[in-house]
Amino acid sequence: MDNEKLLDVKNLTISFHTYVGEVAAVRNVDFYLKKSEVLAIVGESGSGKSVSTQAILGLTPIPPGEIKSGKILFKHEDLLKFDEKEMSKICGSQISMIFQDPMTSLNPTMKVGNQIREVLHQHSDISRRESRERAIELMTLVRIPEPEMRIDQYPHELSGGMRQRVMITIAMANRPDILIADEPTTALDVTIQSQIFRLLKELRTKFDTAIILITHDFGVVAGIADRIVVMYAGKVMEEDETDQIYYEPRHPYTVGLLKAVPSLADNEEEKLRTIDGTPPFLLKIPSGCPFADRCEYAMRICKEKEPQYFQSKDSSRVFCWLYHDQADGQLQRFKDREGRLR
Amino acid sequence: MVRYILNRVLVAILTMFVLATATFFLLRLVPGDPFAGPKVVPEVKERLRIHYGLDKPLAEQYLIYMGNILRGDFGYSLAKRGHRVNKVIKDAFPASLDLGIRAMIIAIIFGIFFGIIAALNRGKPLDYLTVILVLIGISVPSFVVAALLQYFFGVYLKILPVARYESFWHTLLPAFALSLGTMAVLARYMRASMLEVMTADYIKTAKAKGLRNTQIVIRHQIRNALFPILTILGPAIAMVLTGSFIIESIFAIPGLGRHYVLAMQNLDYTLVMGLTLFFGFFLIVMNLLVDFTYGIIDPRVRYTRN
Repeated sequence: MDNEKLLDVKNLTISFHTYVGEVAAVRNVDFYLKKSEVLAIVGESGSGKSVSTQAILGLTPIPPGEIKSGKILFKHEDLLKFDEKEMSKICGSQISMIFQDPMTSLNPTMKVGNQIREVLHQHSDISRRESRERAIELMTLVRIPEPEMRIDQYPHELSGGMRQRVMITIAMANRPDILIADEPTTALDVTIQSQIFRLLKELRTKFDTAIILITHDFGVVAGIADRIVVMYAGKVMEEDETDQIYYEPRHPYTVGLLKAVPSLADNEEEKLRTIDGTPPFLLKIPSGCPFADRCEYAMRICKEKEPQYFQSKDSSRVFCWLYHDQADGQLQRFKDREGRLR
Repeated sequence: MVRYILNRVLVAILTMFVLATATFFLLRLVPGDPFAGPKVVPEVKERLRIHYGLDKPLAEQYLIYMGNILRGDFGYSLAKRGHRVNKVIKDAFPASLDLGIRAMIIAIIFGIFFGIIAALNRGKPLDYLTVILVLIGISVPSFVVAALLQYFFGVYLKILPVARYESFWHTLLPAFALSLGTMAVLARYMRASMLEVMTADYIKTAKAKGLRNTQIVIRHQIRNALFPILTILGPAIAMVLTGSFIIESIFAIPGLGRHYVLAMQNLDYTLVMGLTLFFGFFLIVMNLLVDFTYGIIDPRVRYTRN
């Protein structure tokens, strides 16, 4: 089983040392990625989804950050043990990343062409003419119109969507095994959003690249992800195949997130649905389940003891006491009510 | 862009006019007499006043003077009899310019260098050392530094000349003493600018591209950190200019600064006026040039103004 896993994050714990104390941003997180699959990591702001994926490329700022434990196995080698030089060979060639805000992710004083060519030169020995041709080729591939002209422009001359395409060009330039997309469309409008997702799907088929898609929007993952990891307060809450999560979510938090997605079928007058309460502040880690205070189905044990993972299949687990043998009655109540809602 | 330049030039001309008017009247408020001296008898003094036109009403003097400077004529010096102010400036300016350029080069190179070093070693001893040096550079007046340098290198070690401005070796101490304040300010700004750029998203992108840390610093960080520095070069030039009055006097350099100090002491109206306007003109032109250069170097400014 293990040998199919391209990337295997095990027991990752990351803290940030701040003036008020140590904030446990990511706590014992596990997830894996198989070759050419799309994994979506879903969660609200501060759930640790960006922190855990930035650690894969060694982008965690240390200090104030500290990786307290865990392994990030890429092709059976632990990336956390790599030094700066070894990491630089992986970044941008085997694993690459695109970020949330294309407006600030490109160097404002460097022509976009040079920023694309930089990543080509960094990982292969090619001439300046070849890199220019290759850059134009790649820009055509991500549908940047008139690449011959665009290559000599500066980022501020391009729109947000175009800049994200340039970021994608940079990320895909060396045909990586893994692309990490950290909320790639949050800063863009909805039409551009769907274009970017279509492009990512296309590139994935073309290059066989596995994608980790980080998002807070359940609405966008259905069409692209194979599997979903739901994170909350630095913990993985639920992990399952996309269809399973959509049709039969098992964690009350996942249910809450799914209910919060607005739908065209909704009554116009109706208020947008939210999950009541706020996530816990991770300076003081709650002793029980971090979601207990906001959970409609919380039992006494939920506030006292941290749940364990209840596994049904290999690809499916849930971090919730409802699935304990002795919680059958409460689970039935959950299934009855939420089953009716869907 | 043309309109922008035109606008700036018009403001500059207005500034010059206000500077000329204010200096002219303020000078007359200074108590004293340009022709005072133990050997000057009252009749001679009166003849001198008439000769230089100081007997006329103030308003008339002002109009005559403004008319003359429009033709580029600063008149005759009152204290250095028989010397035209234009000639004094022409003779003394090269030495001042030479000193100023040397000081600016030293200040820019070392200021930026120290700023980068401090930022890259943030929170480490080298950073604190730079911060302390910057504090000293800003707070210790240049005449103290100049005197110490003269004593240490000229008198104690005897490896550099104490004063005068004749060879390359003569230029070292005054240029260094003049550059210190500006160097410190530049280092402080460069450090802050580097730290700001360090947290920018595009630095994260560069790292995700697999660039080594040194490559990121050289290709992405320093270039972007330099832009804010460019804007303070204008004031920096002003600092070097005003600093040069003192430094030139201490090192006996035959430049404009020394003439300025002497002219003030002698209440040499025409020479003070001429030098003030010349310095003012020089400063305004430098500031304009810095602004225009910024527009040329930063691609964002370059295009949006078109």
